[in-house]
Amino acid sequence: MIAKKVCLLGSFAVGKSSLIRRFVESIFSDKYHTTIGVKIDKKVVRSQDQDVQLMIWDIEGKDEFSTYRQSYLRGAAGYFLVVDGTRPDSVSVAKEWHDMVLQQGLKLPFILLVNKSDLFYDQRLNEDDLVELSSMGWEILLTSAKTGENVDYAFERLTTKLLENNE
Amino acid sequence: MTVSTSTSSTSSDSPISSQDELDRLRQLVLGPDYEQALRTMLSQSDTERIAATISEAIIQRNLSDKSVAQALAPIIDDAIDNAIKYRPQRITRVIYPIIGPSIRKSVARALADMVQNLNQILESSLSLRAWGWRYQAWRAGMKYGEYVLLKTLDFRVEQVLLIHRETGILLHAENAAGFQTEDPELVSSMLTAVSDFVTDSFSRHPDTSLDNIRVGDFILEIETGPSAILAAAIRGTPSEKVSQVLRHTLERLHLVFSREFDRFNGDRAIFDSASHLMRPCLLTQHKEDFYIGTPWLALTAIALLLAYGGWESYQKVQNEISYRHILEYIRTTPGYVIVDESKELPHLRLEILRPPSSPPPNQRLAGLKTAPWQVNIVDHVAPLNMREYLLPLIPEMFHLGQGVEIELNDQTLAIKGLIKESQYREIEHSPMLQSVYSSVDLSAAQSYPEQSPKEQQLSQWYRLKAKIENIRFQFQPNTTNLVAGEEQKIPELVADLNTALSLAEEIPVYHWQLYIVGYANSAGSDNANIKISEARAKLISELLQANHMDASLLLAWGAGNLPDSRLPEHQQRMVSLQLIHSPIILGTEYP
Ligand SMILES: Nc1nc2c(ncn2[C@@H]2O[C@H](COP(=O)(O)OP(=O)(O)O)[C@@H](O)[C@H]2O)c(=O)[nH]1
Ligand SMILES: [Mg+2]
Repeated sequence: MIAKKVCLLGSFAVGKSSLIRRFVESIFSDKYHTTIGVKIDKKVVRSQDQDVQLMIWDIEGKDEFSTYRQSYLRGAAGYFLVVDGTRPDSVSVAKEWHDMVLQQGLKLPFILLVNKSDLFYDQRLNEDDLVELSSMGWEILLTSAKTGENVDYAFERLTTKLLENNE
Repeated sequence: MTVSTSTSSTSSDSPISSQDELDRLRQLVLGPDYEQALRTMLSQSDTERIAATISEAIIQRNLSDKSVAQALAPIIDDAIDNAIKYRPQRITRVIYPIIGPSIRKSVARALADMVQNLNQILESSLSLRAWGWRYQAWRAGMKYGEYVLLKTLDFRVEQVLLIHRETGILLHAENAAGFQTEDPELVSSMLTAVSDFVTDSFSRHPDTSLDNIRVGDFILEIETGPSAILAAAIRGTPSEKVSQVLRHTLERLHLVFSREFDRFNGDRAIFDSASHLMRPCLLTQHKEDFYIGTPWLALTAIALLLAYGGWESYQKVQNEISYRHILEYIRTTPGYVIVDESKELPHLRLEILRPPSSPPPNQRLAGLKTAPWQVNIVDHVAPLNMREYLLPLIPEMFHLGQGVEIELNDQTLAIKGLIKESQYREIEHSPMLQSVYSSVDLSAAQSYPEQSPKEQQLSQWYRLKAKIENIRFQFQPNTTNLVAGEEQKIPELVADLNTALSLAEEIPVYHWQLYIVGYANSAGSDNANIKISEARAKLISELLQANHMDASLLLAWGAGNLPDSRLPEHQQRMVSLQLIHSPIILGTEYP
């Protein structure tokens, strides 16, 4: 079976870990998480009549701002940029991450997830910003780790993009 | 040659007419191609001209002297340094299969010497460690030799993983018979993450790459190559042989699969063929192997002696058998550890260490036929000596600093000086110390806290956070009215939040927000539950704002009813709090 590494990138508390927890059934002991700053889960996703083993890397805590970013991204086949719909500052962090990926000379498939869509009264992102990103060709999905909205779909979409990129 | 000299002297006399002559002569001597060559040469830039001839020029010059090499050496050195620094992957990938074996050869020699030395030290010395092991062997009811073997030799490689270095993805796993790990795929990814983490954290000391990790009963031995990692899960304590075999295998894998490693796109099928290369890594070494070894050796010696024939030889064999018999008899006495032995007919001298509960050696020897040997046993009763033996070991065992003094007063262990809190407690409650000394006197020892002021601030922050997140505001059914008395939690909460706020500035913690989450119990429709839970959260948010909390730090929302809540129904009508903030890194500025 084909295996692919994917990463979730984004500011703190936007719901990266919660999205993964929604998506995968098994949870690796959280102990490792805090000591090395990375948590890895896996799940098999079916796309285009093919099973793909996703190895999903979640970054934690201090790594978000440090130089470890590079080794975290090493070998990734694609990634999610995650933002919190209630926090405009999280969009600029996501853009920063994206720029960093480009700076490393990587051109990988990615999807922007606007998470916490269940808090619809508190959405504070600037609509124009999202429209602009979308016109730049960014694929954007509204997700909620709380209700599960679009979570499975987001992983399936990314997998499809990975396979398209393979050819 | 002669012609040209004579013409040039002519030309200097009458320059204008001689120019034509010179041209004609050039044609004559150098041929028609010369003009063409000259024109090309003139149209080229300096750089192009040099580029066209540089390699020949260098060769020419190099034949006469070594100045070219001298001039270029530092430049080339720099270039290589740069390449290694910025493109290490590329360089190491090329040279790894070549330098691997040669490095191994010189290391092997050094290792052999080291092992030799180690053996001698182990056998002959009464070093602290040896005594420590003797003590532990005695405590575990094991023989010293057995214990040392357990400590040093017994192992089994249960599983070998071949991991793609760049992605951390498992390429192939080989298992020992009957062995199954939980999840080699996750282990592989975790290992690369851990090993990246270690390399990144210690990148200023390139020697500190990760080569093994202890996980419970297992040691993970890790060999890292330029494109792939080999990890072996080993039960027990592996010998140097294991890492040698791993290293060797990894080099061969790099030779065979270098293209596949480079172009890996997630498809792992090809790496099934790595199986036959990886299987030899599944090494086993049991302690039984050693015990089987010894008697065979003895039997061979006896057989040889018998083959020589003659009475004398026969006598020698008899003596040897008798000696082994005595030794075995003493060695297998429960609790006995043979510390030393020497023999010269007819004297056989043994030194033993034993617990007081075991029978004294004279009593053991009483019924035994020992001829032709006269056996003399030096008897150490363990606990009596243990007090002394242990004394110098204590600082290392408990990680005590230099200023700490340790004394034995009668049967009491007295410890003086400054000791960390955790070590103080460890000493105070150590079952081992209690079993050896009649009491441990810490009255002259002073303990000090482990944490720096910064760390104390941080743990205060986490304590406050936990306290705040443990608060629950309970509500009356179907209303946004608090249960009587609940609002009294507000003043303390506000005080805690303010303390947290000022701590946040000091630590520093950035971007924090208080999530105020309302809940409802299962009665009522989802829609109604969302509404009421949200109203409850808003109420608490307003109460906090009325107490001068900054509204921009508060985010109130309703979660409705949580279907899998384990709380009793009436407690599900509540509001809980969550403090969200940027990760905390001590000593780091927010970018
Ligand atoms: N309402 C709501 N809260 C969420 C959602 N996803 C995450 N959260 C909450 O946001 C906080 C941070 O989530 P976490 O997964 O730890 O974020 P991370 O730092 O990006 O991994 C937690 O309190 C989650 O319960 C969501 O989709 N909706
Ligand atoms: Mg997280």
